[in-house]
Amino acid sequence: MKIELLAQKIALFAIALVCLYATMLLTFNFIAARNQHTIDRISLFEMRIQRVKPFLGNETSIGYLFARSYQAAQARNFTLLPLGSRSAEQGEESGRGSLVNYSLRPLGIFLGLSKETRLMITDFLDHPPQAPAFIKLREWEYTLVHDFGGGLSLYKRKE
Amino acid sequence: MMSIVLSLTMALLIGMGILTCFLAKDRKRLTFGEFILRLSLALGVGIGTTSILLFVYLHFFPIKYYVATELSLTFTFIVLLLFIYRHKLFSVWTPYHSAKMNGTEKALAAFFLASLVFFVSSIVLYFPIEPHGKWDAWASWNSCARFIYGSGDALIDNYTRFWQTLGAQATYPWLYPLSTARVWIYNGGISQVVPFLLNTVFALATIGLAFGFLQLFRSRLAGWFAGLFLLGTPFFAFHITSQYADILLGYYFLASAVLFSWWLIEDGQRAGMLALVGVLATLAAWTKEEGMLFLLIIFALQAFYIGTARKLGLTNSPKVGKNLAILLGGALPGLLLLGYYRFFFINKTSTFISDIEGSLILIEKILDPTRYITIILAFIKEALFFTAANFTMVSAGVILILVYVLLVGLDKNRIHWRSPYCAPLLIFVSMYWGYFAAYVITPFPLQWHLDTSLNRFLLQIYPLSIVITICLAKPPEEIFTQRIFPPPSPPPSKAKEKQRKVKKKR
Repeated sequence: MKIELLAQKIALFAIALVCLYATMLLTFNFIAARNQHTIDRISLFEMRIQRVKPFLGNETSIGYLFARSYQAAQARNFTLLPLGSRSAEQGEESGRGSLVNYSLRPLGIFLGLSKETRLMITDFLDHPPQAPAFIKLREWEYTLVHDFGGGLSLYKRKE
Repeated sequence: MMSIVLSLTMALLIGMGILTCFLAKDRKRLTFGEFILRLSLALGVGIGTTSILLFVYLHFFPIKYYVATELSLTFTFIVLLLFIYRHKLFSVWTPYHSAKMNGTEKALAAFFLASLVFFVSSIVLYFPIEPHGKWDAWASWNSCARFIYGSGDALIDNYTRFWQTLGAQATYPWLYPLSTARVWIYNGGISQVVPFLLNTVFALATIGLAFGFLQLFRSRLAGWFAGLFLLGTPFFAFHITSQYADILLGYYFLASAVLFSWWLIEDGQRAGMLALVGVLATLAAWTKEEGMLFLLIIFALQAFYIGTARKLGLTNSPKVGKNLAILLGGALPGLLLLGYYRFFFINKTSTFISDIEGSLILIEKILDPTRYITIILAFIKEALFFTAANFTMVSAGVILILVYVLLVGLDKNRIHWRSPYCAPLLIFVSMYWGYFAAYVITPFPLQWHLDTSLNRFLLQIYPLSIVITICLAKPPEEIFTQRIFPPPSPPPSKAKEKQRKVKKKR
């Protein structure tokens, strides 16, 4: 009975210790992960879009079409996780394109490909144009305004 | 950074003010556990309420005056409270000096504090690696916050022109994006630290809720253990860094459930507490769509509890109808907001509902046994191992909690279907079955849906499950207070020796 009680007490303390140990391991795991030198996708997009911004004027709604592949980014010493997202894959397959719907002040709202959007940025990170998306662009009468190179282009819809 | 702290402090003050209105009946001084419980509740109520305030405000007024408006409203509210509750405020928010800790409690508190330091350090260290969080965070939650902040005065116009045309994310509720945008408005610019900070605050408030409730209604050691279990769960920490809304939702689930249990423990006499359950449950629905299921369960459970208790003559609480009215009263502002948001503002049903196929396919799915087997296997696997996340480390989660219960044993006095301590268990089981049913009829590919969402669903009810388990188990003090070696009997006193000598002489 005494031994059982002692074991129970030790086991309860052990549980508390395991919890502490788990948080310590998590910390060390995250410290190790810091060496991976990753860069987030939004920053990458924003960095690239800086070149396009002077061409956007006061337009409030800008389409933004990007590719899923990031091998090109990796070649630039960025370690990016593959997106592998359902929406991105389906977007490319259906030709609608994927979207990054965030806004840049003052009110540049970036949306996916749609008929109503006057300006469209395509951003394929050094990759060849994604065929289905470009078919749609031509179908909706978008014409190239400026090619920035590296898969980054600005299109404008015919008035 | 100061503006970010100011915005969170304002939310906390508003939350404390609202809580004062609902819980001001108390005249007794608080214990430390209850103080932490109330503070944690105030944080969630405050952040949720200010998100609603911003949503309403942006419909009528320019964004540039928002901070000034909120500051003056908060100031007025607090002055009013100081005037109305001047005799009670002190007792509602001041903890009395708690009893001294014994050696065991000191050791557990030290473990807890050390774990907390490691926990916070780990997430802070990880933040620069993925400052925008995982996919759902940057593609949906944070981009929605950017949309709200970037649109500013043109929000309503932009919404119908742009945001409504999007897919699934156009139907997500807005508590989290609005809260992020609100802090950005205070800050005067976008700072990616804000969604991360909000997740951290909600995670710490969740730990505070578990700790406070269990210290109040189980035992002091039980509170420390609950905190340790949550801190030692890698998936919990991992999801703060991913910046999804599941930590927030888990907080509102736990807050509503513990408050509901508290109301039942007090024999259903405190109307303010029940109304607050309604407020918190609607805030859960305002955070994520799963919250709607939770809201329905809370209403159903309330009717069930009071209905059965009255029938059996076990409580002198008011009638079911009156209680439902009180709960509805608390939930009403939130319900009106949700109704407006769903039917007028976005005017769109969620993708899960709208994608559900016709009745024939649905019946086919319901009658397909292979779907059930797939779901059951996934539930068992995830329930046991999801807490470890993808880290190759010990899973301080479900398995450890099971070991804890085996060691201390279950408290049979509390395990009864009418026990107020079992109310959170009924909520948990209902949610579990709700999720199960959702997978059976899901319009998405089943395996894909399970792979991408089940662990997050379980995370939402994980803090609740910890509180339930520890609350229904015996207090660990029962083990720690028992002595392994009984103390030696005290030496006989001189008086007794004299008596013995006198007896011998006789």
